[in-house]
Amino acid sequence: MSDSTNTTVIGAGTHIKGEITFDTTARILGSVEGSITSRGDLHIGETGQCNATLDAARIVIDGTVEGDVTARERVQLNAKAVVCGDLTTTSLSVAEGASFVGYCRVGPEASKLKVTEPAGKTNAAPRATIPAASETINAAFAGLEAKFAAMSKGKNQVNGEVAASA
Amino acid sequence: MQTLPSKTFRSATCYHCGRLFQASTHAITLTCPHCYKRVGLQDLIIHGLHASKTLETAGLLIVEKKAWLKAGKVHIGERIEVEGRVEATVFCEGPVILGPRSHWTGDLTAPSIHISPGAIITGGYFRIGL
Repeated sequence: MSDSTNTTVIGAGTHIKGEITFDTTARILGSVEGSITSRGDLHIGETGQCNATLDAARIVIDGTVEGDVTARERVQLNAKAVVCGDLTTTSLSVAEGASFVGYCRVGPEASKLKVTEPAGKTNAAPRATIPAASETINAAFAGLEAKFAAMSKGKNQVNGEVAASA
Repeated sequence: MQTLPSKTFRSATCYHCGRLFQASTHAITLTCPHCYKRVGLQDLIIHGLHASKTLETAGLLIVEKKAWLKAGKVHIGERIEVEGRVEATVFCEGPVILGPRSHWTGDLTAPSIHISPGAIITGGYFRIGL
């Protein structure tokens, strides 16, 4: 961790809900819900409780994290760390007493791979992927709208003719 | 696969019922005095490629450099040391130590894990410290 002058501290007793981005080192002692991104180091203190996704260069966890953890360089789980979520990093250190539950990818290629498809989970159902709306789908919808408009127009015309004859 | 030379005394945990019992140092397998099921006590060392459906022992498991363990379900009583490659669903009652050139693929349940820098874990659901 770098010196305390460049460190942003979210103090104990602070509750933040939303998206936080740090340009320097950050230290979380309160509770955060949402997502935390840091260009530098990220330290979750013993009193820190994060119901959030973490993304930083190096992450040190002493507290509780519920969410995905992604570090470009290193993740360190200290003795009192409790992590529940998917973990992706280049290097991982787990101290005696730390607990971790989730899918794990460690190694130089880990950040390039997607965590969504667990390689070791043989009997797990594959997660469905929903493709983004393409131009063809939009075109099809546009065609349908035009068709419906024409049909409703025709119906009105027929109704109009019936009304006129009556 | 080789067996380690035995020490003077051994206490082991039954991987069926989870209870502790005393065993002869020369015993390779015995019947659990609590649940009466067969319990393997061998310390296993994997040298080359070893593929099996299940691998169970109350002893320890060592996967050496360039060795490859490919199994469906692995239950180890003591500890696991990996220098090579493991592809399995592993339940270990002791610590798991992944060496610097180890390669792990699969689920792991263990009380603690030590991952040396350089170890590669490609997926798998981990339950550590629970």
